[in-house]
Amino acid sequence: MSDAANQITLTIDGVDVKVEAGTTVLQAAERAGIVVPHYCYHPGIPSRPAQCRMCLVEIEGQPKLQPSCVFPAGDGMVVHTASETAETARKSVIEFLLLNHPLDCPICDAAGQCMLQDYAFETGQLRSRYAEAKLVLGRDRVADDILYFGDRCIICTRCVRFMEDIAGDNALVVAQRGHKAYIDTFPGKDLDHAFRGNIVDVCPVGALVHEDFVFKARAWDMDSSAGICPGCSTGCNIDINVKENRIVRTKPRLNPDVNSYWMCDHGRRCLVATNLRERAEAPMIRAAGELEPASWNESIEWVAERLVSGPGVSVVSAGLSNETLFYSHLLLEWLGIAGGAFRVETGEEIELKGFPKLKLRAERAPNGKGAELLGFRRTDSLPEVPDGATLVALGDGLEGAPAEYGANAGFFLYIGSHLPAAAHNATAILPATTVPEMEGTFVNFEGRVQRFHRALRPPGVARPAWMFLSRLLERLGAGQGVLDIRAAFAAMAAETPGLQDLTWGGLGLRGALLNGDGQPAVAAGEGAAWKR
Amino acid sequence: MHLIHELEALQAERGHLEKDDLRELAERLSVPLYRLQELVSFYPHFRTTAPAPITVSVCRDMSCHLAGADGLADHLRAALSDQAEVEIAEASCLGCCERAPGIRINGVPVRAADLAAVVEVIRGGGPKRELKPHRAWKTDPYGDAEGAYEGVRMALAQDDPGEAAVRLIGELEKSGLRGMGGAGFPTGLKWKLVRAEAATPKYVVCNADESEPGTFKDRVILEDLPYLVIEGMMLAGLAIGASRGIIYLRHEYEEARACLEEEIARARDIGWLGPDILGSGFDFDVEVFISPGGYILGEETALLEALEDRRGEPRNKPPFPGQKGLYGLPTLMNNVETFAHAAAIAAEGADWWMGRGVNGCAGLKFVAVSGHVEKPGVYEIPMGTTVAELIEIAGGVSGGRALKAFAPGGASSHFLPPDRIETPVDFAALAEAGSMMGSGALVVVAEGTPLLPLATNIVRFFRNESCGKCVPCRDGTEKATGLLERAVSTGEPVDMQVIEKLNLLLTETSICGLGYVALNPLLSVARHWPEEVPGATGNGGAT
Repeated sequence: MSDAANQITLTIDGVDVKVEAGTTVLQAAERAGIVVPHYCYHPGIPSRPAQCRMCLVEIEGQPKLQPSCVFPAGDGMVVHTASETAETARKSVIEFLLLNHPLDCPICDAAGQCMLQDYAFETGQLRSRYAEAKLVLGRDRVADDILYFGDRCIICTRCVRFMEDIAGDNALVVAQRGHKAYIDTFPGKDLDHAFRGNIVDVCPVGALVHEDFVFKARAWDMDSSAGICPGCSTGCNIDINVKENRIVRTKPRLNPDVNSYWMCDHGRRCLVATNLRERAEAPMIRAAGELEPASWNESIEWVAERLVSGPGVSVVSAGLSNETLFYSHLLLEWLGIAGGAFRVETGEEIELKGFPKLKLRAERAPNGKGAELLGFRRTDSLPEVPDGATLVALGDGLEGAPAEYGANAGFFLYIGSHLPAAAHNATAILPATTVPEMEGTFVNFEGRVQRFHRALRPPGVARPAWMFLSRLLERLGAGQGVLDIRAAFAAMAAETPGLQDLTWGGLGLRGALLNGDGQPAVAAGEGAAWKR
Repeated sequence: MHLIHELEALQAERGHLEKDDLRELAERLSVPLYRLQELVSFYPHFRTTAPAPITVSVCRDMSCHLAGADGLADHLRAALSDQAEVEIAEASCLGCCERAPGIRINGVPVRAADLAAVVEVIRGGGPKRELKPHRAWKTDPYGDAEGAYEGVRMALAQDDPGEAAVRLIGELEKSGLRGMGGAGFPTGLKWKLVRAEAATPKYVVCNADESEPGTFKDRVILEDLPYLVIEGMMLAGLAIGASRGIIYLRHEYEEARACLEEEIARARDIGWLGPDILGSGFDFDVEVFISPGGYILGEETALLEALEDRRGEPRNKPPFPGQKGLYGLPTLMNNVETFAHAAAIAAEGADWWMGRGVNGCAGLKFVAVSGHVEKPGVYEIPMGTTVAELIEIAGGVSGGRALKAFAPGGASSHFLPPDRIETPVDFAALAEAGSMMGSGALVVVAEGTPLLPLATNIVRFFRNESCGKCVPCRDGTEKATGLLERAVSTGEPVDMQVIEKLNLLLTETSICGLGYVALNPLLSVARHWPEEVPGATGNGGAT
């Protein structure tokens, strides 16, 4: 790679850039921190039609402007990305793109995140030199859940090429030709690929929009935080977009080691769906026959007084963070309960052809690997609860349990964010945050430890389970309460083979692989910066 | 088999391409439906609605516009309103400009004196195909197919095939032969460059997709000299080391197709095409690929895309077809006329060729003459013949009128005024006069013809034929058309500053030549006849 013979040096806008032979001028410019505007080029899509004509640059010795997305950098080459000719051409291309564009930014879902809007704003053209009537193409549906606004489309063909190059199941085409061209499916055949949602993400304008997002939120009204998709064991890196403390959409976040620029539609749906479930918002204790709300102090005290070491069972979930699982395991050890178990839902595995590492994996939970690492075992069925035994149930562990499950337990501690039917048999309920409401880590299918960040405010007084579990343990005299995710991760890493040498800060946004053999974990390498 | 051929066969059988038939085809060929959809919707030859028993295509482009084709389709519809069985559609240039306005009925070109005659032919159930007499041409060393392929025999007779190839290329270089399709690239150099490419197999492609308004010379060459074109391709195969030749032919040229297929079959029969020609170890065969339509397919890389069964959208260059052409392999592509002349030069020598020209120019040139002349048609002239002489050869300006303007190189070339009439037909001279050789199509405009509607007509043609791949051409041609149509219908001034900026953008940023040339005719009209373009000062426009 860094073979000197393979290195070339070129000058871009007066900056000397050293790159490997075969790098395109656009990539070389990026390396020098110079952004060449572009629409049809997408770093994740291999085909390069060079058809939007936005990335044209002046290269000394070339008779005409050249598309920098395909033009190979050459040794000694002198490139001007912002010369008068290049700028004029770019401005005019923008003007052309706006000719038939409806300029409906005030109602367009891409406004604020639209490359056409950005470049038009940058070039600062207030009026067009043309007065002809606009062509009207109207609106269409390309998939069950995706709408196509033909008038906004700039025919960059990113969506078509995503389906062809990456999904390997092309249902989209450019139909017709010339000024009548538009994006379409074969009549009557819908786009039903499991990764189709990515066409919305690659669209540089607002032509493709998820129907469940249309008119829901403006880009500037949303907060975004870095999360990990809980939909399967792949652990796709995602951005969670939140408006007024509700998740309105999730989008893939670049991680070349995991999901590249993509994610599946199952993953897109599963976090948005969590908005709708009934929540545990305050601690509840059965002090006088009925479950009654109580303060955290009162509840922790009440639970600590009644927990005793003895026979018991536990059920946890592969949707819990490593930190929660770690402190749960400490609690189970204190109680003398061996072998907490978790069940995992499975489904069909679906591969993404153009990036085979990314699959919708059969295991439909994010942290089965982490749960195993932290001492839990897989099971197919809910464990039997012997009469009078202690039952500790966490998170989705109770999902699908019969309504009477746990009613015969001597002490039934439920720790979770939601209230499945069996939770109402609990002796005490400690309300936990959901994954998007907290920070933490998961371990994905290949042993990559990845961080996720808080996107939502929790309801009521729900808290991260690791936080109050550590406090309960402190009250039981079995450890130190922690309030900070760094400390929780450090406590876990110190005692867990495979996590040693890893730190919360060191994981960064790309994650790191577990070390199974006591060797220091491999930190992720350098990757391309996120560029749309 | 090619998808495009499958679609053509299906359409030939059913008359049109119906959704269910396409589904069945997709299943049979195990190709996804989108592959069919993108092709069917791109190529104008494919139709998704059932045709009427009599379908009439009416050309309304340049030469036909000059012959009064505007509104012709409407007139025909009105005259035939009682005929439910007749479908009348406007089409892009049909390549029969000498019989303008060009009309094809059920695929057969019609020669008719006036509207009434056309109506008569249609009521009579359509025209009969005419057989044309074989004409003699100076570039043909053989006179007929019987004596053909002498150049190949001579090359194969040499002991060292490598040396024979080098000598052949040397002869072409010496002759100064240039590409006759429009760009005028030196032929010998092109062959030499493709010969030097290491990758194999290589391909020889004959571009027989001439579709520019006013251009029909290749049709005549293909009909009269198919053996010479095939021989030129064989020589190219010898020179570059290829054994497969493809003739990419526009679908409207049905007579040319018949002539070619007949000659290919004959040559195969007597061993001139196929494996081990004359026992030399040289294999070469030629096939005809029928284009599903569209002017843009004449652009070399769009043509390659079509050969690869895709939408005919031009590629970015470099790489050039000579480096990475068909299926990414070195591909030598020349125009029909170029191959014919190359064969003549191989047989007769570069000296002979150079002696054919006049006024200091070398060689021969086929020119299609149309528009306002008495005898429109294809003429073979010595290179260097002046435009004035050529117009005389074509019988002079029709009706004895004065000359107003001429486009020496088809719809994409700049119009020139009568004071340039003594310009020789030659690459350098025409460029110096402010126009170009282009596709070898002289379109003559007589006094009394308004030029702005003519220029608008041409810009509209380019708009209609833009593939839509790149933004400037897709939107620029559309906007220019709108702007000009408004000026023509309302007399409002044309903002020439806007037009010139548009032109700069089209030439600077378009992927292919269609975008570069789209506004040429308009700019030349504004320059030489500013009084005809409201808003023009006469200073604007390239020369």
